[in-house]
Amino acid sequence: MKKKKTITFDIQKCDFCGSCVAVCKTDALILLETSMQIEQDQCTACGRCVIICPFRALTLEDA
Amino acid sequence: MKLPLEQFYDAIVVGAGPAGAIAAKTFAENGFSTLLLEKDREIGLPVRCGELVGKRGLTLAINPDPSWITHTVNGVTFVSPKGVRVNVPCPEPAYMLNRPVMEKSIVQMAAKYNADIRVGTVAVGLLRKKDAICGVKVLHHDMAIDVGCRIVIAADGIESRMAKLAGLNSTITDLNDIGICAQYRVTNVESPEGFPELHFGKNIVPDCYAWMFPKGDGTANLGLGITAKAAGKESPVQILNRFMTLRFPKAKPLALTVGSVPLGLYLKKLVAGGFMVVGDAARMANCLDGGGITFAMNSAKLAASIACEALSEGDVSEKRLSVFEKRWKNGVGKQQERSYLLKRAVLKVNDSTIEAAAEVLINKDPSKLKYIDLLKLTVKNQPALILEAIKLFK
Ligand SMILES: Cc1cc2nc3c(=O)[nH]c(=O)nc-3n(C[C@H](O)[C@H](O)[C@H](O)COP(=O)(O)OP(=O)(O)OC[C@H]3O[C@@H](n4cnc5c(N)ncnc54)[C@H](O)[C@@H]3O)c2cc1C
Ligand code: SF4
Ligand code: SF4
Repeated sequence: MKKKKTITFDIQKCDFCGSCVAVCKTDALILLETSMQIEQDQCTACGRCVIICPFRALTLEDA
Repeated sequence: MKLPLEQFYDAIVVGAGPAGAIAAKTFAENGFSTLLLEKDREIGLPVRCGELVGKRGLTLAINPDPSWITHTVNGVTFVSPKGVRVNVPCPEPAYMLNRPVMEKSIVQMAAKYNADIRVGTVAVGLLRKKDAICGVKVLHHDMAIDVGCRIVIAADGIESRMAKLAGLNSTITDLNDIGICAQYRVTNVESPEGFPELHFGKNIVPDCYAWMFPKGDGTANLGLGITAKAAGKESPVQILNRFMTLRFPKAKPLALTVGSVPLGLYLKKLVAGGFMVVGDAARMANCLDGGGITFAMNSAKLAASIACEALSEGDVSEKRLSVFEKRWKNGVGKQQERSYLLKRAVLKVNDSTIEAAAEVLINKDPSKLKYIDLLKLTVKNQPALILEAIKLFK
């Protein structure tokens, strides 16, 4: 079976700037007051948020 | 149990940036019950912004209180890749703002007219009735609450989740249409002119530009923006560190923030039944420099004024609200379309063209120099764009 990558989030690195939310086509990222809710089912592992994040708080990792 | 919020408002405004603050003030002043929601715990913070704004655009939206302005700016210094400095008088006076003071002050005006305000409170969803939006799902600390309303104004900035949920497709799909920024608030910066500085050149920043905006109090906003293509190779923070060491070796950082600016066209659809989107959330900005404060404030003022009329008439249908879409398209929207065209040309300009332009301009009488001369020279191989540039800066 093909390995699907999953998105991982490092809250220590995040500045809550919202840039990743702006580019996610599937509404998989929901920024809350001081946390991020990630809808893994909706994530297509496209990597757009990974490129955008200025602090590299999001990464794609093998599932 | 008494809920920490009313169950119903005439208007709910999501986001208390410059756009949301103006929208809430407009509704409250006109006697409509209003709820303003802000995800962050303090209005105006963090400052993800260079805080430079055109006087004309700002005063069109609101009569600014002197406490919002740190000083008036009459010129801009362009710095070429090799460090040649060209001082150009501003086409119109500009202000350096203290954004936290301004935003709190406008929100206070809304509060004076009894608007409800909640900070640390996130809009997480929209309520729907048939085809129209009729409320917001709110996360107030750990409590999830459904709050009904007649109209929602989405002023939720770059994230723009509300418009997505309303079906207006606000995702920035083309990654060339977003500028990724990093900015330090610094002290110990010196500039001979005291003007805001714009630095160009691939040795400084791979694309877009870097800025140093003195605040007039011994501090400055020092930042830069890059496109996704460049960000894929190196983070904007790393590039900013290099820029600071090269051009402002004595600078000491007091704060670091990151954020993004929309650099594409504004959304095709700005309204749905019971719903309007404004400011960064509607992707309104000057694509050439990423400036969005006046776009945010003026779009919010226009949208909320139209919404007030619609509320009085008892018709908040998509058709009624689409007056906003038309008026934006025929007004400020045109300016954005021109800036978009120019941006695409300017991104293609190479360092030697900028250097050559700087060499020509440096020998001209500075008092006679115009902003447009610089643009003319940098886009000189593309005559059609000069026409556009003239329209944009006249
Ligand atoms: C580094 C940088 C420098 C800039 N420099 C300049 C400049 O010098 N001049 C200029 O004109 N423009 C500048 N801009 C652009 C300018 O900051 C924006 O255009 C402007 O802030 C847009 O205002 P807004 O009210 O639409 O959105 P914002 O100011 O982003 O406000 C949106 C608010 O909504 C809140 N929010 C988001 N989602 C939710 C939710 N679900 N629930 C509740 N609240 C929510 C956010 O916390 C935020 O406070 C800069 C931008 C950046 C990133
Ligand atoms: S990888 Fe793509 S789909 Fe997944 S969260 Fe990031 S942007 Fe969204
Ligand atoms: S882009 Fe990065 S820093 Fe910004 S909110 Fe997303 S994860 Fe956090």
